[in-house]
Amino acid sequence: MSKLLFQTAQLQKCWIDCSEIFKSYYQGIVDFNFNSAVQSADKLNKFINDYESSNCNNYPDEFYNDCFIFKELANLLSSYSEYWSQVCTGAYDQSWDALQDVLDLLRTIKKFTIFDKTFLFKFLEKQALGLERLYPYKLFASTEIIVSKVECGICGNNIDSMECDHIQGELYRGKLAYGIVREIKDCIAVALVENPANKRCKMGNIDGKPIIFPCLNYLTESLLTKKVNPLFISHTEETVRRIQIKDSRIGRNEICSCGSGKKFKKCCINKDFAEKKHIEIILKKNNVLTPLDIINFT
Amino acid sequence: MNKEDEFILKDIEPSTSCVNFIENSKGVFLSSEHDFRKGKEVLKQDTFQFAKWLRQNNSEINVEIAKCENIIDLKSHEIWIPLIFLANSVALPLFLNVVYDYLKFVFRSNLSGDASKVHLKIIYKDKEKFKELDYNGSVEGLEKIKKSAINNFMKNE
Repeated sequence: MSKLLFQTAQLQKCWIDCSEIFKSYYQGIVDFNFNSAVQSADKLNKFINDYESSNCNNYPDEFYNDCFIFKELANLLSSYSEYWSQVCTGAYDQSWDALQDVLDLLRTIKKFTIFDKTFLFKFLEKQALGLERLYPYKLFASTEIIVSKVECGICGNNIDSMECDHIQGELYRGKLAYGIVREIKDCIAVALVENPANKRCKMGNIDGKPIIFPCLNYLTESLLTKKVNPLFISHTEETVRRIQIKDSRIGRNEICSCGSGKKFKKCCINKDFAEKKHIEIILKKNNVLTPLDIINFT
Repeated sequence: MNKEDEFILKDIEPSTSCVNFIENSKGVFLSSEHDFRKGKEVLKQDTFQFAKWLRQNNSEINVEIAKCENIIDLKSHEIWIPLIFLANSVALPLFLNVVYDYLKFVFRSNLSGDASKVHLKIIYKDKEKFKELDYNGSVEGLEKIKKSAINNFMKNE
């Protein structure tokens, strides 16, 4: 595998040529001007699309694969700024989807490059996985279906046959091979699972109660009062805190303060202390992401 | 192996077609399985992706696939390798090594903390007895089984 993120010198140069766009993207995040950051990421996408279409078709596969990676990196930066924009406006439900976009893009880029060796990747991976913990979503709907015709997005043959050479999820001349389901024969089940391939079908309010986002409310408040900048957030840590139960003034029928969701009389009423799950947002003021980490990581 | 990993190795009496393949053919047969919920024969989702990867990376292994139109599609982060009949021409430890390489290929996009669970069932013949290896667990757990199988194989050679 190449030691560079891009395999071709052309795309390597393109990335460096976009330095000013990266700087304005970075400034957008620092200034909480997330729309401006999204616009910068859109400029990157336009740049690479124009560059790719202005070049003729006889370049080697590596050129088109590099263009794909460049676009995915631009999409990653776009989704990242959209995520913070949604968090700051309290649109937590949508922000979960943007966070999943960030994670999926990290997975895709990692698959085909050495991006995971860079500081930018490590920073985004650690932060995004940490932010996932702040959400109350633990169960997801996942379908189990019987399909019979799945068309390859590249060659059009049945991807579930040996007539098609493409392996799903692999990159061929700048295009990801994916299957388009043309016929569903049967739906076996829709299961609730903890580890689906796609976490966007989340189950938030199974018992009919409204979903609450206490950790995100705290984070948003800290962001809006400028106590915290997204680039200072390193990761989150789950800890257990002891809270005093004895002599506390919780009513017997009130919800127990340990976080179990049960009534106090059916939970910790006979205990002196209870253990409550606690999530800590770890900030880092030194060695944070800089524009150079984006420009020079190739 | 992790506590959650399940590994069962048992003697079985396989179907006639399974015995025929193991004793008279070469390579591997990726079999369909009966889904009792719908009463249909189905192929696991990863059957053809695995077969194509084998063809591209281990072309010396002959791969045959059951004729079945129904593919079961699970939107899961887990890998379901199809039921495999392993012909006498392929040694189990060596084939486990191949499966392990495939899993590394599939899970290379995983982020830290992403679960990488695998479901694997292989029927093979060992000293006149037909055996079924059934594994449901982590890739790391499978690596330990693979290493132990290779060690045993080397001792017996």
